[in-house]
Amino acid sequence: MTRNKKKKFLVFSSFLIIFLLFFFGLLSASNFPEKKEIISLSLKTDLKSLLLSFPLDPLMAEGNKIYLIVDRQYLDSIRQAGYNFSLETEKFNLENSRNQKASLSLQGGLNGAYHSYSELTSALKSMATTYPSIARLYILGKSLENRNIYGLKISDNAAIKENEPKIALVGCHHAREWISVEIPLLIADYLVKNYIRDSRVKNIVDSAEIWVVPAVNPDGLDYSIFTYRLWRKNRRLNADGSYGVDLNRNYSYEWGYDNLGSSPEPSSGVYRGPAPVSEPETEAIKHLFMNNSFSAAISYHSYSQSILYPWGYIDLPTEKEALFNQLASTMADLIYQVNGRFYEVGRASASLYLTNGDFTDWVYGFFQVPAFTIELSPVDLLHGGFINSEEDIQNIFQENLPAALYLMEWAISSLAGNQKGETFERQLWLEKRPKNRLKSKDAGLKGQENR
Amino acid sequence: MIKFLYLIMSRIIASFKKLILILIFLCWLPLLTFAQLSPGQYLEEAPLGTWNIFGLCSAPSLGTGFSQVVLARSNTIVLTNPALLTSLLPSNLTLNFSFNQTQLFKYLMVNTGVLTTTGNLSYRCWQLNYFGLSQRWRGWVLALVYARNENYGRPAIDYRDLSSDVLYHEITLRQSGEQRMYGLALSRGLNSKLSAGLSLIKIDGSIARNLEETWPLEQIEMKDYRYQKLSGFYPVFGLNYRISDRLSLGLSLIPPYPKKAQGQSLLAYRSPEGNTDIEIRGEADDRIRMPLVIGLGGKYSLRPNLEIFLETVYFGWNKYSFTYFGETMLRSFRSVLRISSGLEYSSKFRLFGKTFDSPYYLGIMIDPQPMTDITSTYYYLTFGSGISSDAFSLTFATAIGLEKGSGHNLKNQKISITLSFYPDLKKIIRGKGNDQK
Repeated sequence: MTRNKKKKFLVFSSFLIIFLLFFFGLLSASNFPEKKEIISLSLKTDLKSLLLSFPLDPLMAEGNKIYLIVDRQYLDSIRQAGYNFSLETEKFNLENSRNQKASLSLQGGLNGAYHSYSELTSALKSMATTYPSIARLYILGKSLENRNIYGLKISDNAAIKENEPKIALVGCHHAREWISVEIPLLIADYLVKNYIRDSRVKNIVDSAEIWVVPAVNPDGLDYSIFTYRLWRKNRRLNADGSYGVDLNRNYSYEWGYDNLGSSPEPSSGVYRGPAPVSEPETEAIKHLFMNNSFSAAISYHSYSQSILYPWGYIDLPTEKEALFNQLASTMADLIYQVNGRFYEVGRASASLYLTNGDFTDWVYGFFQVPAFTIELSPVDLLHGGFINSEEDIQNIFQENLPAALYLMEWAISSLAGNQKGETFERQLWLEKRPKNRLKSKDAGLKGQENR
Repeated sequence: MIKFLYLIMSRIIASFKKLILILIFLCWLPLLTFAQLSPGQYLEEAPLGTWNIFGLCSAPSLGTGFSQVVLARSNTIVLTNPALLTSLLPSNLTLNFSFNQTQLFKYLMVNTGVLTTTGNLSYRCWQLNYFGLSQRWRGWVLALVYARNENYGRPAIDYRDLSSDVLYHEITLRQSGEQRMYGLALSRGLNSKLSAGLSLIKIDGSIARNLEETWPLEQIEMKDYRYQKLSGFYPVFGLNYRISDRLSLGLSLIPPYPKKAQGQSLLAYRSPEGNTDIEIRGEADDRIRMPLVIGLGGKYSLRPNLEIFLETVYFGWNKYSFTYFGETMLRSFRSVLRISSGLEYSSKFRLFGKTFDSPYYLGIMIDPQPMTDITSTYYYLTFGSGISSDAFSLTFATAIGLEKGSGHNLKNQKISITLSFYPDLKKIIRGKGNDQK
């Protein structure tokens, strides 16, 4: 190689390296996976033949356009086949970042980075409008003060009720536990944002229906923000002039079993209400569960760093103690691996205190579905109690995400096994379900509805 | 009927003039000795006593059932109907003192949450709340005023969970605040019957709330502090029309206007043992949309020394909106009509060889509150008296309000003392000029 040629080769190589660095730098800066693009086509296009000809993944429909995810290698072929499309990847990334700002960058209010009811409403609506094909917002009911109790359904065909395992993530039974709103909300946010870029998330969303109810108690949440930080119950004006029913003592399974796990006194912090499911907030959750066959549920609370499972009303194990313990332990391990925070695992009645009429007992008792109460960080009052710093929201979310994904995958695999006729635990539960008892309890509930 | 009432009243007053004065004064004493604690009124931003605050009530206004649109006895009318400035003596310097005692049942976290009381709580404040100057010059009247017309204080709370001399839990709650007004007004008689006036009012003030909660055994402290700085500006338009020597009408208009509230907040949680120091700070630029206010009133002279007043004031609360730290708060309000009526009887008496005028006031007012979820109306009985001459007037009045509708029978008591001077500026200036010569 002559000196001149060497020089040319060096210059060319340098340019190539710079170009490649620049190119990959640009790609890594993008939110979207390198090989994927988002295109939009008119809804008038012959989509059926397009979808048959190319491996495309429908993302969402908006106005008269449909958005599809496609491997970059097919772009030319699609164009050559006579389809007119627009490349929307950048726009999508831009919207993502804008929505992220809108939904998560909350600053200035009394609640800092935490969501009030109206902020939560905006965030949920934003998710549902940005990802209409995989997220659909439902109003499950109205609170006492006429606020909506929202349920965000995340699934590949969110508008359709499919025969898929359903998992419920529920937060804010107790008003002062602000972090319990954030965790299910952030999990929902994670699922919709990573649907197209993370195969694990895509598999979950495609195979299951995730119902996220971040605030069962929106009235109490706003009272806790605007009036008194440590408020716990809902905003029922009781007969004696006191306020509030503890929604997590108001469910109908073994409601009022004793006065240790709940209180008949209206002024008590654990007042169970005048009757089972007397509150519109618990009624909304009841309707959600009556209309959907759930496979697993998590109710987020704070504080104490523990994962609890039924029973809570009595210090006895359920038939599925071993399985519950195994699921809870695995979740605790996954949590520990993220930030090294240890979540204790155990039966609710034995680990914390007796609770009757609570969500997890009700879910398992009536629907035979594994249900967990996750008491989020911190571990005790000295480390903040019901108050978490704004900076800790992300940490708590990051450590709880793997546990939630794990339970979703467990529910999916359980149902899949069930459908294949394998002898899975779930099949066993369905067979052993105390049907007569369920029927009589349900009849009671229905009677209440008719009133 | 009116003649009959007039005759009886004039006879009684003539016979027991001084005794009545003493009795009216004595009526205040029980109010001053109430060992009550503090105030409240359902919603955080509500001024004490009533939502329907219209300018500031001088003693003659208060005594005649809150007559503020046609009654001109001092330059406090700058805040309600500046057209009436032309009816005042050429120079007017007025000071007003007020006492306000308001009962509350539900406010902040009291009787809405963890703190409960068996009865109503009271808030009292006693302050110099008005200073104003007005001067007539070549048919124009110019006025400058300062007023403190809204108070946002609430009864203080000190809760202690004490057992066997061990303090387990302590809560202290304080809220204070007021709104101040700075007014500049101009008024002129357009003809012998009609006068018009305009006031420009600048407002400022603040609301501060501090809640501190401690658990001494664990050495845990929680603090929830909120501060809002209020500011705003609005005009007051006024007209006064003298239909005849006996009858005149007044009209007042305050258009809806935005009030700004710059907020700062701090939620802090500290535990030295856990090495925990959590702070959540907030800031906000909020807006409060104040309602349209229209006042219409009539004055009729039954006798040269007996006048009756009838007024109605409309408050357009249905358009009221309030944002609090960035959040639009739900306020289910309706517009309301405040109705009042009163009379003023004047007599003369001699003291220290000089002749003084002595007015007597009597009035009633119905003051419905705008909240729709709680039906609440105050019914006021007002009365007052005073003494006046060409150089000054000292009047005092009291109003006792009973609330119906909320189920808590709240009471509201007001006292106003108004001191006005009527210096003859021309004389003073001339006098000074002579001195200089």
